[in-house]
Amino acid sequence: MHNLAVSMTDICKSYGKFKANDHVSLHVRPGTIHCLVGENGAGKTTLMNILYGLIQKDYGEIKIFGQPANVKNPIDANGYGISMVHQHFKLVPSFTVLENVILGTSKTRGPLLDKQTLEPEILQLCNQFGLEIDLQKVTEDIPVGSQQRVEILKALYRGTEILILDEPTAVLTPQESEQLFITLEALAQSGTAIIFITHKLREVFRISSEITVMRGGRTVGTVFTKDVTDNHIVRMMIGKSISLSFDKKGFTERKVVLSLQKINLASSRSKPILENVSFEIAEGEILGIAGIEGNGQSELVEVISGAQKATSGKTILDGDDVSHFNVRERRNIGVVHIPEDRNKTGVNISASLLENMIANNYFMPDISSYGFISESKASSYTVQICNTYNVKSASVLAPISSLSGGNIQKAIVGRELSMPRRLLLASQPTRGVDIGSIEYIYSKLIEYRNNGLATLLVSSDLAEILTMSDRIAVIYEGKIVSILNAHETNEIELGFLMTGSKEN
Amino acid sequence: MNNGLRLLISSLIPSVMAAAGAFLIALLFVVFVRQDPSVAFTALLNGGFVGTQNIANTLMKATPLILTGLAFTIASRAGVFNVGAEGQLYLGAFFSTITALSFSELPGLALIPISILVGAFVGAIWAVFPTYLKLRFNVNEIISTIMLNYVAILFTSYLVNHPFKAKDAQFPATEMIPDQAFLLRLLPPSRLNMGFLIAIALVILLWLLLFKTIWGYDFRHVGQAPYFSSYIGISLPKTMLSAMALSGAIAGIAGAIEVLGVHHRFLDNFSPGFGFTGIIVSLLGKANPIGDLVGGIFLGGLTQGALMMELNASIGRELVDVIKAVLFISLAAVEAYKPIIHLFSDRKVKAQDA
Amino acid sequence: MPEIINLSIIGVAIRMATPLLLSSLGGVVAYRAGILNVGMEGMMLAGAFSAVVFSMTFGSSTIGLIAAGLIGLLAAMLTGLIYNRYKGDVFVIGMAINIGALGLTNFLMRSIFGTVGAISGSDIIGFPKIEINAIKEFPVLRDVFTGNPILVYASWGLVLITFVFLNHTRVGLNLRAVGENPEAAAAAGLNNSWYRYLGIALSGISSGFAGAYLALGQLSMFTENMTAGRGFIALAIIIFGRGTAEGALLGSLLFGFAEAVAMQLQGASTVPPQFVLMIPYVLTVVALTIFGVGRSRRLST
Repeated sequence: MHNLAVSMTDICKSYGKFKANDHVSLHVRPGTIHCLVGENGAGKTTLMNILYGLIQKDYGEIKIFGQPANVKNPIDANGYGISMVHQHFKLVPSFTVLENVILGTSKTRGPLLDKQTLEPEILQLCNQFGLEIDLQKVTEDIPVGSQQRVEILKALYRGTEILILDEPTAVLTPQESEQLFITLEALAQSGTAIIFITHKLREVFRISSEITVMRGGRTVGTVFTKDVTDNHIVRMMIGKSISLSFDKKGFTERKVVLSLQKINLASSRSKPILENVSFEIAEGEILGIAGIEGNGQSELVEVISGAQKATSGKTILDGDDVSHFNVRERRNIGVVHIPEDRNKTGVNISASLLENMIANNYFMPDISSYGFISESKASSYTVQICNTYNVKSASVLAPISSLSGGNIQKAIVGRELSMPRRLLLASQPTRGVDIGSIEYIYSKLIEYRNNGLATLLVSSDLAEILTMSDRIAVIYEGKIVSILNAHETNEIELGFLMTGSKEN
Repeated sequence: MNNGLRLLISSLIPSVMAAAGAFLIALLFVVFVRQDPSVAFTALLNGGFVGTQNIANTLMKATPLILTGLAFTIASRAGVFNVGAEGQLYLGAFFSTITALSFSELPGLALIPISILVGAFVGAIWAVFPTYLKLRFNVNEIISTIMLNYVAILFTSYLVNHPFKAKDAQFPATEMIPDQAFLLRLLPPSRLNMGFLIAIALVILLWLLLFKTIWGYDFRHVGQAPYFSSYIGISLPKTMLSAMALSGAIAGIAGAIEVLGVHHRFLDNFSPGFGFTGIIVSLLGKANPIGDLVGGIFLGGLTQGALMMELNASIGRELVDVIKAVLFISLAAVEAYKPIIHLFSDRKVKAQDA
Repeated sequence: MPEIINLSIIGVAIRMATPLLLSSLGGVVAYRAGILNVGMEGMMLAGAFSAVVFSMTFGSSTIGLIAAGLIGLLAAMLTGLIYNRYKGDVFVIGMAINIGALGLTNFLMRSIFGTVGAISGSDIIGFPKIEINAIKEFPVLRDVFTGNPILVYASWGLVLITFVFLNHTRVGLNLRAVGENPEAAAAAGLNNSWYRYLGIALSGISSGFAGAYLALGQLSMFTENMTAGRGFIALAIIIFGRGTAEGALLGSLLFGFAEAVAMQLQGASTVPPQFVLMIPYVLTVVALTIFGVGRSRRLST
């Protein structure tokens, strides 16, 4: 066997003037777990998409087991023994696990599907690598952790020799992550080369033998895990050390702003989406919602913003029952909202910056009169937000799609916080945003908190929840299982609560 | 050349290319049926666009097309496909006829607007119904509006064949509406009438509505970004219903104008597919009211020219349907024009650099 | 009532159901590949026209059938090309095909045959009809199994073939994956475009056959816009049949029966013909309303 499974040298990829990959190199040995780390936007995913044939490199050389490889598409990649587990699973929801595993392979003869003869072989793979899955279950009905195992099983079934995992633990609990690591170690032991993309350092030191660090589209370096410390890696990742401690003002007497009383939300399936959710948020308080994605957080925010009507229960804002208010009525009394999906929900990506910035008040006298939108008023309002919130754009009429992710997010934050506000709903406010913008957004959230704004912070990033929140509510299967003071808890305790289990 | 003009020109390329392609393919068909293409096309273009009477007839024929184009535009901007303009137009035409007949003692100044408004109202109802079904029962509006076209055409056909048939008519038609309800003819003997000016007024109004007002903001954002729109508090059902009501109303007005301005009575099966041609007009016009005006006049000219071609060059006027179809098909292939657009704008950039 | 609705209605219903069944079966495959083929109406009309022209020219209904299938395929390939290669909107392409087929058939009818409205004549060879003398005594059997072209029975076989194809073959599994989650299919190494072409091609061919049946199955003639919305009704059948072969069969029989009732009413009652003709269109909207409730097809984000 050749001593390098993957050898990528001098890889370049540009989008217009932006260099996503700038002479990047990566070398991975068979039978090892190799972590690829770096901040969002460092170019990790671009590099892996090139290796997997999803996008084409502009320049550079790829060798697989010593042979020059020309990977034009995922089919080629599979031919070279490369598989990839994406952040968003590539599974067909209505198919059974078995159907998803065999999709696109041809191990039976003839045109008919013969599932019986294929099953034993797949079961054997499951046993060998400790993957617990029911092959007959419909994929959309099984938990996210199991769906990820289906992805890994797919790769194994295709006889993968090089497995790429793109931030696989983002959707997992600490406990599920541990199970994944055991499977990956077994895989590596059987000779598979594993490339593991992450920015969680604890995981890096838990499983990897080598680490390649990327920053701003370049490789900073490759090191043996045993030779370095986490401090070392952090400095390689961000080039400087950042402090994430904030000066939180203390409050002596605070009015309750939001009070949820026994909110229930039924679904078409048997289990309700939200069950008896009650909590309060006071002036100058950030309440963090910790939980694994898909446990009802999105719906909870929708119920509070007015996008969904709760099946039962009350939403009280500043003492008034607003349960029957729609989105605009709630916005008018001070509910502002940074949504989780920036490009789909937060902005109209095909409109101009200006049209996106006046979304909250185009119908109000400060922008329009007699139904006609005043271009000069709209324009000066947009300029004002851009200046206050440090949004960089060529012009107010530029399409918002021409702005970077960080600038779009700052624009959304600015648009929301520029309105009269009592309650901020912040969902994943820093997802996919560069470090500079993250710091900026954090400082704004704290500034407004100190000025008395009540904030609901939903995030899948436990570190973010722990840093920013005053109190933390843990949500599991639509229920608030616990509400804790942020400075009295830690990631381990939250991890256990998030899975519905008690700490032993 | 300034930026805006360049953008405008490159956005027009698909429409112009599609028109050129359509003529080219129509030419092949003329050759295929062994006729002289030069005679055919000279007759077609002269008949449509040369001479006062021809132009007047072109504008007369363009009127319903501009309006149905506007109808499709306004609905599609809000993300609903109104393929039902044909049916809305029939019902609008019929009920404005009945209104004009029923209130024949009213003066024209009152009777005309009332008749048109009734047509608009009925058209709006016929458009709101499938939208309600879409929102409430998830019924695909493309299929339901097409089905409702058949229902409307058959229903008016029944009415004009039975209860409302004129006593001495040899063919299914209502009585003539009173003289004072006739829309003023602008250039007789052509049947071009005030309806054309109403269409132009609606073009301007809808352009203002779409691009300058808060309601247009709602329409455009609901169509482009439904998730964003509901997040900022625009009601999707309300917006879609009002866009469709407006769309149906415009289609109803188109029908009313055909009656009050052109035929002066309701005729069974009078529309040669105005509603469907409106879709092409809207695609040609890039879902912009001003574009609909241009697209409507273009297709109106072809229709008028085809009549002249049939008279002078004995080639079936159905040739225009072929041109329309090719135009439509090539407009569907938006991406096919990308290379040409790029070629155009690249060259401009280079010219600026030099 | 008895003289209006009698047992022969079953035979009529089956005959009326056949073009709907043929086109909706192909349409089901396209639907499962992720494409609602709005152009089936036009493909059917083009099929009917070419079936008549080729049957007349070559004196063979089989050649007419093949020509209809090929013209449907041609229109489908054009649709597929614009959709796959040029990212056109399926709805716009479909409407374009519909308007194009209507315009072209009228233009050619006038230019080649010099007629407006219809082509008919004894030189148009219709499909031969199956006659089984042994069962001519039995009312229902007789109505179902005699006097129909073989295409009627072939369409029943196609139901089974479509069912097996979609649910029990590898290509069928792949095609459904492409329709439900194209990204997953691409990641599994499938060529999405190829399966979309396949689905749309089958819907084109089957719509062409449906058109041939309309033209050569009973009357042996072509009339202007003779499909009269059947392609759209087939679309509705696909949707409320949830994109399954069995749903297509049930939906087609429902509409066939409705049309048969309409025809008998038309012959035997004082109800104005316009209202009778309305029945299938009203039924389509009603059926979509009743069966369209609930979640639309599961498509992952």
